[in-house]
Amino acid sequence: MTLLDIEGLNVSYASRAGPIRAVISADLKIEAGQTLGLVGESGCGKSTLGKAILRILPDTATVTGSIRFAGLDLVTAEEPALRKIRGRNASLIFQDPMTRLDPLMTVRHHFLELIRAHEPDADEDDAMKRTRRVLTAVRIPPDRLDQFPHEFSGGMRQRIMIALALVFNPTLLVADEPTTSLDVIVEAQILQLLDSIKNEFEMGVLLITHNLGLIAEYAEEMAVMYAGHIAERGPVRDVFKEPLHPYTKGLLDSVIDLETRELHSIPGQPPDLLQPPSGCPFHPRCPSAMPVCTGAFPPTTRPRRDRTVACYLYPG
Amino acid sequence: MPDVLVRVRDLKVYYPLFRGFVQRLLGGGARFVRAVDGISFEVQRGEVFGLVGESGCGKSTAGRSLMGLTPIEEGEIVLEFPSASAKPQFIRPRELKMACVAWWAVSAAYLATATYYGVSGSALFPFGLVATVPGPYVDALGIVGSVQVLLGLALWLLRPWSRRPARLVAGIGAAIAFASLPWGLLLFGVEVGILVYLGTPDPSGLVRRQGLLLPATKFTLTKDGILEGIPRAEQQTWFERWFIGPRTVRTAGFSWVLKQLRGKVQIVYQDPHAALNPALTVGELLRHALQAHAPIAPGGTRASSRLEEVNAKALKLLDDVGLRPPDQFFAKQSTDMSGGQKQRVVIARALAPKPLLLVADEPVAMLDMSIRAKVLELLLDLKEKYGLTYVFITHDLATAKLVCDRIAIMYLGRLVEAGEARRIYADPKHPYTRALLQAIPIPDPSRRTKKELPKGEVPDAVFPPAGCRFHPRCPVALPTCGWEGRDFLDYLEERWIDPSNSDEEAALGPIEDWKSEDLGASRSVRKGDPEVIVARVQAALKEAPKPLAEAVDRVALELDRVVVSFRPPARLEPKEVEGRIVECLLY
Amino acid sequence: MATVTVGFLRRSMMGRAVRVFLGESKSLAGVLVWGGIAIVLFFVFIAVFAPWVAPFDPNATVETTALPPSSTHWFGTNRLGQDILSRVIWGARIPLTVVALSAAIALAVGAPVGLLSGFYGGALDRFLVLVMDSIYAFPGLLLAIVVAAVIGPGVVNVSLVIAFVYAPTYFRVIRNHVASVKEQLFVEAAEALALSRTTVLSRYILPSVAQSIPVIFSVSAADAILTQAGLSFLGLGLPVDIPDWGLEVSRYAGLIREMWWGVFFPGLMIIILTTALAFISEGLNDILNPLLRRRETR
Repeated sequence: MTLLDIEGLNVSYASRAGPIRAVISADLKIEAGQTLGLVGESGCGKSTLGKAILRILPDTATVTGSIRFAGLDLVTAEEPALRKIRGRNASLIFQDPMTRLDPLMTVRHHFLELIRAHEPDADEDDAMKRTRRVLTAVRIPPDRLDQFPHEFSGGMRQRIMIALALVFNPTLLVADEPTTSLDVIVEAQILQLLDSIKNEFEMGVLLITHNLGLIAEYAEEMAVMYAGHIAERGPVRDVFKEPLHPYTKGLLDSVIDLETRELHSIPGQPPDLLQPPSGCPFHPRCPSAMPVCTGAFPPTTRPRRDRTVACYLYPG
Repeated sequence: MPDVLVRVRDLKVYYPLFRGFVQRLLGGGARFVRAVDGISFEVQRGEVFGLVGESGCGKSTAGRSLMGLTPIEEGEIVLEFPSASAKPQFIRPRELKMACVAWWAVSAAYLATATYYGVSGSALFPFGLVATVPGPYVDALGIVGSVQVLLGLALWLLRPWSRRPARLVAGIGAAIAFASLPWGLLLFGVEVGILVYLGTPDPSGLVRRQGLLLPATKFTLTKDGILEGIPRAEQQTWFERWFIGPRTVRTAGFSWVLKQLRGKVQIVYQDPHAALNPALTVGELLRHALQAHAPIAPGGTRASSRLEEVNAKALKLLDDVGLRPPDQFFAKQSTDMSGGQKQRVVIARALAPKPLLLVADEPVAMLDMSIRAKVLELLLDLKEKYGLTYVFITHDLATAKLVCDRIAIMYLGRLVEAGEARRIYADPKHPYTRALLQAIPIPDPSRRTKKELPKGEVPDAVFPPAGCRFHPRCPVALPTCGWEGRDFLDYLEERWIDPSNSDEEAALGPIEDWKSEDLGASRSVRKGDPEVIVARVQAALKEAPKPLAEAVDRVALELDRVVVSFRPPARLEPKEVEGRIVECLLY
Repeated sequence: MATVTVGFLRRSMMGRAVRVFLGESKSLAGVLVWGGIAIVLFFVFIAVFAPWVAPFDPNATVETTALPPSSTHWFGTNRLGQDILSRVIWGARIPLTVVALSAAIALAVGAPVGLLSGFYGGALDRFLVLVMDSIYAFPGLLLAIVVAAVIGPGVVNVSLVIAFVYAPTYFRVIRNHVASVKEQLFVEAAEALALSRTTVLSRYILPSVAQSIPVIFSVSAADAILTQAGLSFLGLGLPVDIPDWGLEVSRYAGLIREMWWGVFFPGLMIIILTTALAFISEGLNDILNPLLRRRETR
């Protein structure tokens, strides 16, 4: 069952120096019970895409295209409808939980506030029962409900964020670099937790990260973003086995893991989003660039089953 | 030529925790974050030595302490460098320069007074001081002034300044001034004061040989600053001693020795954006570094203080770190560059003083995956080109494996395993090393495995666990690893998350009623039946992890409290296991 | 010349602030600042060109008695028959001189002391903070009255008094700012390179701190005008024959029923000028503070 269907999504920010196109005609689908890994380097628009789904972008952003979720088109939906969806049907987890948790509110208050925002007449006992359930799910001792966010460690805070996201059994969870500020062991703990919760709650997860290792371990589908475009999309196993887009290849090569013997990198610098290169934005760094690459952005083709790629190496 | 460049012995670095007045009254005394709590290691010349661990393990602090950027609580760091040039260096300490200027000013004032007084007959000095002075005295002043100006000039040319001529001048000045009247005496007193102050042994004195200065090659960093037999107090100027109080190594600032040290040891920071002053251009950033460490030629002028030479050097550095064409980057503002380029500027700047040891503090952690390898390669190339030794600090075992010859794994201020990288990666011995290695994500979806991760997170470094610091999370802990009261409470809390244990929670809880003190945990039995509570505790312990349960000495009633006490931990010492040092009771 | 300016705008931190601030002209904060600056410039203009702008000699008796505002005497005349408009125009000189002079003195004392105190820390810093805070905690006007009574009247003395009252503001803001900038990594990096203290202070710390100076200036300038007017009102400021707003207000305060214009117009000028300065400070605060915040969060 397709949970989320994004088609032709464009997001651009107004800035003094002109519009910055952060996401350009992106197509994505997330199935229920599936983790889609969205990978890319800083400034490639992956975070913007995640925020666009819940429509929590700053005022300077303009969104076009369509995001179909829970029977609505989130691009055209009105604010009251969106507010109902946010936190209820779809939740978001951020990189730094401390920026989302109010330092002056106890954990209990965070949950109460969230539940009351959606169900103004929920009584406290019932709310606490639900809170305890989700806290147990993320292994936070419920007797710490009356503590403040700063009394918890980084991993615990992220668990609290996850618990907050789970209160209404959402069908979609957008996790924007959920473990970037955590250490490897805690990172693995949190992602294992997310994985088990995903299975338990039958959620779709959009895992936004720059770490290909995490995608390989925890996602089923993946999409690679570069300069606002989705360069390549497909099942994780296939993409890792046979990356099609030269950028994906370069990115996979540049991963440093325990078995790396030789260092690889992609030449050049990430593009300036204000003045992206013409045509395929990757062509200045691409080892197999052709003259046609500088012209127009390549059409998205489907060279293998279940896979799409936007590159002139794979014509229709 | 020494093979061991850095020798760290039992180093402890504590940061005082800021606590309010009331907190201190309540909580008894100051508390410290034990960032580094007793580590020893050596860095060989020409190697890449990795300090690896999670955030908060003290690896950055350990690295920064090598260049005297942190206070040292205990232990010492000895850095011994081969003397790059046997040629003695001449120095002109700032204080001497200032003294010259002051002396001239005094002399010029004498001279001006005399001249003016002679011409118009009116007082020049305020408060009518000079007006009371009789005529002939003014002539004497004039003579003193002229003599001193000439001597000052002579001394300026006779650099390096040794103490003897200074005393000589003082003597002459004294003779002439004594022949005159009180005001001359007063001014002379000021002069003597300056000379006495300059005559005290300054830190640079320790490498002084007959008025020349040899470049320092050995530095010992301890609690008392950077020294070789010179107490800390004397490394301070009187101004600092009186008005600012004792200085820490960090603020020891700009003494000559510290400057020498920082010319030999440099650092590359994790966050290049924060490490570069946004108000300066790349060229200025490099120029500052180059000018501060330009060698001093005989005669006292900095050999390459000329702007064109410095700029040429800066361009060369930019070229060396791969920022080409260098002149284009030279004029750029650091804020207009990408992360990778900024990090290259940071590296170029660190290389400016021609260091021998480079502390690379997570140099690629903030960079995009696609350019990390480039920067790592650059660092390795520069190592060959500049003959560097690296202390490579990272949280990423995979990167460390690629670049490090030897590694030391740190956990909560302690070294848990250290040795040749090859051996450790092939067969990690410490449970923590194993856990770390296992947690690294494998970028191969066909090899997904369920990981056995240690539970919990790194504890607070203000109150580190007793015994082995890893024991509360360790999957293979022994009863002797250092179990204590709070481990029992953590166990209870963890246990009560499970709703099926809620009746136990009702009987023993809430957790706030329990108190843990070192080896014991206790709870008042005024609420509830003591026997039931003891029985409950014993029941809970039966289901506890084996090492925790076995470490319990006894569960007993003491007065009105039920006390769970643990056996003291076994002594933990670093041991040599298969060619590496491991700190674990398993071995 | 143009390229020099552009270079300055491109490179320096201050330049960045100015650039943002120029681009900000459409926002409310920008309007406040530009409006405030326009008003202040207007006052500066009439003060500088008072001899040409003022229709009459401020000290000459041009009428026989106090007259209400009319087409010849827009602001009326006072009991001595002097033209109030001319006195108001000439009177702008005093507050503006005092503000400029006192701000310069306060800055010259407060800023370097704050810079050094914040940079070095330690016992000297704690002592200075104690002293400055004690001065700061005193009501400004009261303190000014005490000091003015000791050192006597005169434009320079009044400026000194006001500088004495406002130097702690410069000290505090700059000291605290330095203490926080000092903790930034690029300062540690400079220290790790063993750069000289002068370089660290002037090239690494000062550029970041300098941004807060215009804000403090505009805040304390508005206060300084009121304090100066207050001193004049109490007769502690200036010799009596100099045209000055505060003095005028004090002279005719008792006659507000008989000749409201004698108090109203000088008073109005005080209000307009302080409001304009307050506009500038509020606007600058809005513009510069997000800039500072943005830099810190990046």
